[in-house]
Amino acid sequence: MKTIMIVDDSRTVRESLKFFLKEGGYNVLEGSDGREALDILVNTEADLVITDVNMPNLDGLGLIEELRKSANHKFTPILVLTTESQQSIMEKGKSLGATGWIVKPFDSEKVLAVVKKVIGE
Amino acid sequence: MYNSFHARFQLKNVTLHPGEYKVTNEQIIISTVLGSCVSVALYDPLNRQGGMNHFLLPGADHISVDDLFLLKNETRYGLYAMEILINNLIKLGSAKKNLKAKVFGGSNMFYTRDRESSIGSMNSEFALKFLQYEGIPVLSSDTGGHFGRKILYFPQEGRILLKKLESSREIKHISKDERKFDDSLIKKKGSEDIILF
Repeated sequence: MKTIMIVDDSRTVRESLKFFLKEGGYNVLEGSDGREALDILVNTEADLVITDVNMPNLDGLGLIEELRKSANHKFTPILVLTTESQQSIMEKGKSLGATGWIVKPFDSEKVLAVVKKVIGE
Repeated sequence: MYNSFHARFQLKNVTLHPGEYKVTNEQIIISTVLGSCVSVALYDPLNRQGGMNHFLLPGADHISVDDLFLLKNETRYGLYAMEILINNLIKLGSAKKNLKAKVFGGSNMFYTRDRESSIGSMNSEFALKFLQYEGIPVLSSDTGGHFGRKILYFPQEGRILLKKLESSREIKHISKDERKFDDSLIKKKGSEDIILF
């Protein structure tokens, strides 16, 4: 079973994501900000990271930067799931190494389809 | 959203329509008129700033309270309305842990598609559950009932003035606006931006 780390400071968003990703047959890890996710990911394998941008401690862009510097997550796909649709922030995410960008509000079935496309069933 | 001048308070007045939000640290009034829609007014007492949204869960009359957080098409707009409000307050310097909330609206008198609808209750229930989940205290709320509400929010003080709207002319007008918004969101289904780099 493939593992997805979801990172969002909103418990509601984490619960919603967790629900449909589990239904889709994935194992789910969660972090409430970039720092917490990074602490878990240091010693844990994940097939995909789905992260918000605006979070306390370490934001989503900072998390991408750190993961791309780390040995075990240099190539792990990272999808950004955010209310930010500003082109400049999206470009920054892309240059830091994000795999894709999903602007909220989002359709769970479409997100699941993108997840399948990126990491398979 | 449109700006006007509030003569009684001698302040700028920003009026929200369904689907809109405003955050500010300025001494203004944010106002709106609610039927079955709900508004959450957030206040940051440390920075004396706040914001308010105005949303509904499209087609929520056929979902159950238990399904509120299962990211149905209906709930994602509520989630988005709350997130964008909080995120923009954070951008203005607020910390989420300092935010306090007041919740209004969710009247059950509108929408009679095929039966008496509970869409108003679903909207206010969603807002209250979201705030509980996120650990944001609700200082006061005025929801439900069978009337419209006009809200004036003073975001630098976190103060609300509320007026009940009970005339049939006002109710008809609010209902028409909300129905239009509800339909536009239902039609919007599937227009999200997903980009793979």
